[in-house]
Amino acid sequence: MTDAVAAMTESRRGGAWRLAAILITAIAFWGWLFPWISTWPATRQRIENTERLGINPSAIYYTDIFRYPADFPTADFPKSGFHREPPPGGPKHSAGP
Amino acid sequence: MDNRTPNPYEPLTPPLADAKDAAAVNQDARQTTGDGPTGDGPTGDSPTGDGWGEDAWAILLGLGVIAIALATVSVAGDSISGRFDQPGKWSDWPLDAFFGKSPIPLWQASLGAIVAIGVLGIPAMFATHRLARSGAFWRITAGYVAIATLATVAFVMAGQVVVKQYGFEYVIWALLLGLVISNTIGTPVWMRGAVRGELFIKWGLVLLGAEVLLGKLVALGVPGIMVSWVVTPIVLVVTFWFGCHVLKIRSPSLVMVVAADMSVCGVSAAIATAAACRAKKEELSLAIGLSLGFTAIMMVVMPLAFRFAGVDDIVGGAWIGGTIDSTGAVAAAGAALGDRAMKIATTVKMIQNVLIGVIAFAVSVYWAAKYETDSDSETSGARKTTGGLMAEVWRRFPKFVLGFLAASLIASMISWSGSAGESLIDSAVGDCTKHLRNWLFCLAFVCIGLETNFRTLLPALSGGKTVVLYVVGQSFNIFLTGLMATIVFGWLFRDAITRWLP
Repeated sequence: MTDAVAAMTESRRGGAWRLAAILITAIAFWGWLFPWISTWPATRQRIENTERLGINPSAIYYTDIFRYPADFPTADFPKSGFHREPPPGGPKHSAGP
Repeated sequence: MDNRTPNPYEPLTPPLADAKDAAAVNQDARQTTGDGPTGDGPTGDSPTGDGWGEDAWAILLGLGVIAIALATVSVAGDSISGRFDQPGKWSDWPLDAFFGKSPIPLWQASLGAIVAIGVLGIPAMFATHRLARSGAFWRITAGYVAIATLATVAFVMAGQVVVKQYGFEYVIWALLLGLVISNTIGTPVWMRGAVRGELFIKWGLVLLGAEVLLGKLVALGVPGIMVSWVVTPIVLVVTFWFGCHVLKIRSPSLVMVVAADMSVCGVSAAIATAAACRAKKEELSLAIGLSLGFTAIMMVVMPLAFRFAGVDDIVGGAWIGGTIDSTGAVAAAGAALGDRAMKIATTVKMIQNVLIGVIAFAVSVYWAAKYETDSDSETSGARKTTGGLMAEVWRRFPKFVLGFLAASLIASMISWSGSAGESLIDSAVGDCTKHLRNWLFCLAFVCIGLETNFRTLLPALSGGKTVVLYVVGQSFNIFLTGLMATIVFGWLFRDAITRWLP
């Protein structure tokens, strides 16, 4: 029984150490590595392009995209037979950056 | 005897808990989730046994929030704008995520969302707590604060510009944060009252319903519908059949979640389908991990490959829109081919997104009829004698799907009523419900991580078959979408599209 308690205490301590190691790694990645990568010219150019277009590459759903093409609600193909008037002032999410 | 698939929200057994703690933890988890020895499954459970339980709360909370948002926008105009948000983008210093260009600082808007969800959600958690013991309310509240803090950290991690650039959404960081805690120090007992991933997911899905506007379909044109609505169901069904009959993956819910995730619209489809077919939390986690990993690769590789192969931007845009899982990644990959490709890609993806409601509904009906009733041997005899199949299906049906469909229909009807209605929906969704939905999904994935043991993820991999399933299904998706995009966008409607997008 005493051995089991000792093993459990050791296991908890091991868990805390693992958590601390993961936290330090995460802080290193988000605090240093990713900010450094974001200064690379290729990365910066890619980021600037998506920002210029108002795109959120990690959007989970289309309403999360900051901007989708301004003519979306009126995107009517002549053969489709459908037509829809745009809302006044254009679509809500169409504002560019 | 109950032979159904194991409960996704099974009692928590943190690896580091001693026997006494584990017993208390499991008891607490059963009380928290409403599952116990007599538990009825992850969805449709109710402490009162009426088959609604959390679903009723999810519908009530979801439709209530939508109604409040619509009423506020109707009465007070844009005053709701910026009141709810999540931490934003940052490059060098994480605290920049809490301050943005918006008039209301993002930390205030984030706090507003956390408080709003807490004020509405904590009573719901308390009400569906199986055994309300003294102090339970405060334990739930304390747990919620801790989980909301973790969700905030997940948003900050996802907001770093490099991470964001490759489409690694907040859901993966929320999941990993929960996993790290539960698999190192174990989920603290005092947090467990608020570990209610299922409630958060269902509530978020009802809110998502308001974003699925059926009117978008007719506005977006026939070519996109032909690509999205023909290819997607075929890929879904073929992938499901392949996983079940060729790869012989034991869990059909895992196969369905991966198939929907890969063929429809990534994370949101995976969440909706997992809830509809009562997939295990490990299966959902795995499907989302696969999707995000392959999305990050495809959003970079596909535009490059199309440029190299000389695929034109019209066909390439449709091809990207029909194959890449995540909506944001579709826009980014399309933009890499050009402005016209981005418009077409996002159009096709939007039409595919609308399918999420149809797919979730169809899967929930199919599952309730086939898997849930087949496996319930105690009730199947009564069903055969009384012919009560429909009653059984209804009993097993995940009721929150009705809230999702109701939200979609209400929002679509308002949007269709004219430009004022469309503006109303745009404001209510854009300024309020979508931010709350993001928070709810983030909270849900923190909870799923907190409930998941790494060891339980291994069986979900099925010895690598899940990865094979994704790769084969996605390859078929790429082939079929490419074929359809070439026929529809490159031939049948090419002239019309060229006139629309010169």
